[in-house]
Amino acid sequence: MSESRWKPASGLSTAARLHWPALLVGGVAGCTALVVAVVCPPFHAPDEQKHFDYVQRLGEDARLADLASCTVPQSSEESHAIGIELVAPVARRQERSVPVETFRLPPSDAAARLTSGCNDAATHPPLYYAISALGYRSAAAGNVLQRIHGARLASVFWGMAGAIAAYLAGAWFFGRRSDGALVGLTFALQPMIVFLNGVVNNDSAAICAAAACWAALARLWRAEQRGRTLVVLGFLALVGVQTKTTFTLTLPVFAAGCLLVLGPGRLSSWVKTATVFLPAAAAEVAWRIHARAAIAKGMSGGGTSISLVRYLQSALDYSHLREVWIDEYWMAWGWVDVRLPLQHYWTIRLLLLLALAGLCLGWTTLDRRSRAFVGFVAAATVFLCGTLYAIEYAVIRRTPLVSFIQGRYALTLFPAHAAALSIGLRGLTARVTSRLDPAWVVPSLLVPLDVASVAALTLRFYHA
Amino acid sequence: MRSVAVLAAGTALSIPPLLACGVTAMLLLHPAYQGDDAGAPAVTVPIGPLHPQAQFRFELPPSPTPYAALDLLLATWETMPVVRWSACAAERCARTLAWAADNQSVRLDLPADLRSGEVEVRLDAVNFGLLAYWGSDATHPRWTASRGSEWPTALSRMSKLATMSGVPRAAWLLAVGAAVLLACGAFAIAMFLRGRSPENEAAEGALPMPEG
Repeated sequence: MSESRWKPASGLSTAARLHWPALLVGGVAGCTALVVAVVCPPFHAPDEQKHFDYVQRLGEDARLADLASCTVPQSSEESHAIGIELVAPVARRQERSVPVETFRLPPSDAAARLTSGCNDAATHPPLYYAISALGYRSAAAGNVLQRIHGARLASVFWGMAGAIAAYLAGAWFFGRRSDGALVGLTFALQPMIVFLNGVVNNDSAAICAAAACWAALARLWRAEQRGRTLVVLGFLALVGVQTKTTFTLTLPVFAAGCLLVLGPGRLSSWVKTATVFLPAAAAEVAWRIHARAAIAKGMSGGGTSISLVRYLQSALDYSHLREVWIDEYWMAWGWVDVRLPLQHYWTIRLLLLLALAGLCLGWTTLDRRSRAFVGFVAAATVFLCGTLYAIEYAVIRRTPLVSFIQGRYALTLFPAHAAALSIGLRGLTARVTSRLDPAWVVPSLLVPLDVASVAALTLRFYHA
Repeated sequence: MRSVAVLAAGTALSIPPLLACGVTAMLLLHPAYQGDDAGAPAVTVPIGPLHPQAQFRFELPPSPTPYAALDLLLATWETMPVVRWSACAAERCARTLAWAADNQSVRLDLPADLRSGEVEVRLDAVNFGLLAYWGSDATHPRWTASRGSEWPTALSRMSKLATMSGVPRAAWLLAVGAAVLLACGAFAIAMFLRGRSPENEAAEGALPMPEG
């Protein structure tokens, strides 16, 4: 590829001129997410009906649900009708397709749109839903399907922003715009992220905010404009805790990263880190206090008496670990059983094995910075997974639920995982050649996975 | 020695994307989904492992339109066998080569213009894995028969729902998405083969070093 292809466009600000490939990466993320938004039938995504209910509450009434008075889960009449017509007949019945020919749009008057917003999703902070409500309002004159897709558009934009942030994280960490494109494309093409960016679910916002924090940390590590970067990091953390709890669980990772970059041996580093993340922590505490009654109710109802040892034996079983942290993390489309070819999961596992082999073989060729980063990512992953297991154990002991963790909850770490994956794969050829760049195997693998995912989604719901 | 190492690394790295491309191509060319439980008992177990020349018979009820395919739900114990089948009816046979996956249907082509009658399915070959079908016993596999071609119908129905959702040209969007994905794939392959060395650092747009 000649130098001219990377020559920045003229007439733009310096940063924009330098990082114009970010726009292309954002475009890829937007395009793939739009495909999912169009193909996936309404409410066939993780808890999409509940998330839409929250959006509808804000879109119609511009008020949050009154959590103190919520007694039973509710949704609007039209949302309920969609669930009855397009979800219930099809859920877990692979041989049945969405009844497009017999489906009739439900009445869409003001009464049919009314909802109290009382459901599990109501305990989430409101930022994602407020922005989705703007998309909802843009289709206010339309039918319920159009308003669902209006809300889905918000996730698409979060996805595009997340991909741009991932590009910046890669570019600032590796010091090359081509590596920014690598990390950005890996993010934009990751099948689970593509799916979440096309449906109504606050995961897209949490993952985007996390990607932005990783970018800020990478810039901090480059020691560029540290003061301004710290302020931005604090703002991004504040935004992030307003998206989803999974971001909040990752906040300690960002704080630890900030401290390590600033230098943990200095008192000023501790003071700066605490100052940066204090607003986010305060906002999180404030929201928890606001929603305490609903959260307490959600963590009650009787549970399963299971010892910690027995729980760990089950949770750390190899097949369960593989299913949650590989299959669900990378590629579990559809809320009600879109089955993807098993061989695709084999390719992901093989890729991860190759990266691990590359890390082992090329460890001594890595510079100190890369080794420190890989170690930090490994520790962050163990921390987040451990925290999720602790929460799941509490959930099982106190509620009727028998499981809680889904692999997508760790996607806030994905930009860092993508960078570590690149480092690992490059280790495979580090000693023998620079005429191949193994890191680019990742996006080249993700392309056929995305094609297969959309194909499987289409077949599953629309077959004759 | 170095050339051998480069070749080995390049081959190992090519396996995941090539494998994924192959599986995706099979899915696109032989679309399959888990079929109906029609004629299936409530409790099923994997019947197998099956060996070449294993045969079973299905009775297709009369249909006004020709049957297109017969779907069998398979078990492979998480292996990835490549399987060849023959489905014969009225002295005509159709052959299918398919990559089998655990708990997923395989779509067996049927002879053209088949509207009823007995179909004899024979397993011609099983390579690189194990194979069984889900059924109550050796003579009762879970199966279904489908009519018509799959992709045009599926895309048409998807477009209809998309139109109701305010997206008038869903097929165009899919086409654009496919083009974008192919472009990304081509770009990734080009960057993989280009390599990564200090010589091309300037061309790749190295970021200015921070001051201080």
